[in-house]
Amino acid sequence: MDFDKVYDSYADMVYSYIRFRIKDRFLAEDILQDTFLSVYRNQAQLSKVRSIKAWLLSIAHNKMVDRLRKTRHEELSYSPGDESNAAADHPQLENNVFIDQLLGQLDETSRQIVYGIYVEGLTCRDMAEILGIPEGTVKSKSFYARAKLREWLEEDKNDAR
Amino acid sequence: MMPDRLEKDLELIDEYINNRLSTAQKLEFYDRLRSDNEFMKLFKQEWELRRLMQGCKAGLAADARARILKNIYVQSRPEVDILAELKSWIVDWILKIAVPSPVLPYINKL
Repeated sequence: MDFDKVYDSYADMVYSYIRFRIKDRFLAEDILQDTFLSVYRNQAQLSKVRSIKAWLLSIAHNKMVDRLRKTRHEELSYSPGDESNAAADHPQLENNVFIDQLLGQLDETSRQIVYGIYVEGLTCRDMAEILGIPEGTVKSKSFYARAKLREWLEEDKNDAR
Repeated sequence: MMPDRLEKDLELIDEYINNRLSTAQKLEFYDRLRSDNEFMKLFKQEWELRRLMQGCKAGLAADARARILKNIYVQSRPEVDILAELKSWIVDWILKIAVPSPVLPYINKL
């Protein structure tokens, strides 16, 4: 797969992954650019990687961590999206606020894991590669986080009754 | 539900949702959904959480997408030796001023 095709197919996915952690659009776009510049320079590896998705996200993750470390950006901690004020008028935004609240109760790594599994359909092995942590840690964190999310989901349903 | 079994069930649900099961495995999966209420409940919760999480997806605007790709190509070009470029431009300029124009093509050929 050539570089342009990789960019066309995966830019949105990588951007979405970055934006999940970084709310500043311009900083997120900058990190996306750094990520794909690195991909461009290392495109010989494209044919060798097990999963392109996991490889791209691991580069994005490292770029994000580097940037946040350098700038000591406050967005390392999770903050709900900007949509909260408009939530009442829009069911999708209401969902976003609800999921923001749920995710806000998990630690940063668990949020990244849950995002990867639920939104991108990644496996624990992929997430271990992306985050640079053991697969066993990903499995246990994912198990705990998902149990918590289901519990909170049920509580919310019971409260609504 | 025992943690080990729950972990396996979650993996199975992930595999199903991401379309990584074979036809025979899918049929088994449907049987399990029909016969096991707890598994059905788990599946519904997991499905609901995924649906909610899809709202976290962010899209890249078309102009930003094009601009970023252009920047990547610009930045990935080999670095130009600015000093050498400047020297060559100054020499050309001096030659243009100092040497009569009919002679210049012959000098450039040297």
